[in-house]
Amino acid sequence: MNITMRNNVGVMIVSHSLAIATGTAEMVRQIGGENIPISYAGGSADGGLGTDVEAILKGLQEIWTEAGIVVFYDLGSAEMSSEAAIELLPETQQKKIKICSAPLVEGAVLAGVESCGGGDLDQVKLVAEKRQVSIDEISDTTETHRVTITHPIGLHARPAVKFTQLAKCFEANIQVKLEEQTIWVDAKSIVRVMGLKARHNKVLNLQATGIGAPEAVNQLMVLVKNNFGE
Amino acid sequence: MINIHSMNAQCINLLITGTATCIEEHRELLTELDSKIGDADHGINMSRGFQAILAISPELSELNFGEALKKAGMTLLMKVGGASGPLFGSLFIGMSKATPQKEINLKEFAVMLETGIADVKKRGKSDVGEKTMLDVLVPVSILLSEEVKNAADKKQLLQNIVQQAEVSLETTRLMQATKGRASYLGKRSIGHLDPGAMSSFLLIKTICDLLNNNNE
Repeated sequence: MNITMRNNVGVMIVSHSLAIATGTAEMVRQIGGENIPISYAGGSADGGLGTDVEAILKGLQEIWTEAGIVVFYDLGSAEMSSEAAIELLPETQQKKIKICSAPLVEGAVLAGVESCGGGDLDQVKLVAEKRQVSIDEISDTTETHRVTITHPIGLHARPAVKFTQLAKCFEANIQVKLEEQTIWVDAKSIVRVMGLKARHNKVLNLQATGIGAPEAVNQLMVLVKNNFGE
Repeated sequence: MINIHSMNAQCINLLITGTATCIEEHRELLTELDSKIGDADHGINMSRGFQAILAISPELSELNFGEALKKAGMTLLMKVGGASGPLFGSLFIGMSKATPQKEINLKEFAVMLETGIADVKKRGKSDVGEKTMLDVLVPVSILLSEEVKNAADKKQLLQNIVQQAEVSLETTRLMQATKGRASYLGKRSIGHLDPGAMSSFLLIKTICDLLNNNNE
């Protein structure tokens, strides 16, 4: 699979089975679109079940991007073969390839969505692992801002894209949650923000720290109040 | 210190032919063992790997021993298509890192083996007691490192090594696998020999026999 745009994080799928590898890649492609580099290695060189270091290496080289690659695997020896393949690449590239232990299909699809939304390498990996992004960086003393969602369909697909795109313009660490819930999520992650399922009339809480934090919160609040410009 | 002999072209050829033949002869046995606790492909994979090494044996014979080991390891890594590729590949590549340029004595060989084993542990994130190839390799390596200090009779030493490998192989029968596909079986993995430990034993026995005959 060859992709022209190279600034999205790549997704590499490694399975003992070619059918699983191609099927998973197809699912990632469907949800992630044409922009993200996807490759896969499935089965052994002779067409049987197994892992093939050479094929993994080739796949990684094919989709290599400075944005980095997240590798998903099915079983233990696929992880080991992936590690062996990565070690055969130049050291500068090795640093930008992360092996992710998330369940193969779900992890790869989540990564595809996050990569498509412009998430960076760490973000894509964390989202795929369903882990919280840098929650502890925001202390209890950070001021919480409240805004009610007036948009009729809520913070769903298109509004969520606009919200995260705006959040990504700021260097600040921005977190968002529903007022009725306790878990903060990364405001720059499309998967997390959509995962809030913030519907019409719900109250969002926003917090930010770091460079440009007040401006970030301010602009995001305006965006929500203006019904995401729609 | 005991000199094995210089690892010349003839010796490299002998080792390759010997190990490849041994793996080929035990292909079914290895697969049979693997069918009990794994995915029934160990014999096929090891055979594919060692046949690939055999195929480039003329090329390997031109190299010095360290380079030949490294290339053989890379061949296993790339061609095997199962867990044994990266693992035995790491063993050989690791050993090649500690291979001296010219003559190799047993003391140096012991260090090579230790280095190779360290790489296997790293690659497999494993250690002794998990029902793997390490359960044969590690005790053999410890014995070798001990015995080379005592400057024991070479023939006796080689015999001791084979004996240790055989005893260690047998210990895997009662172990519960905690690494690799066999670990999915939990307690049901107990009662079967580990196929990777069996290949390690077979390779060690073949090499010791070759060295023994070669020195007579």
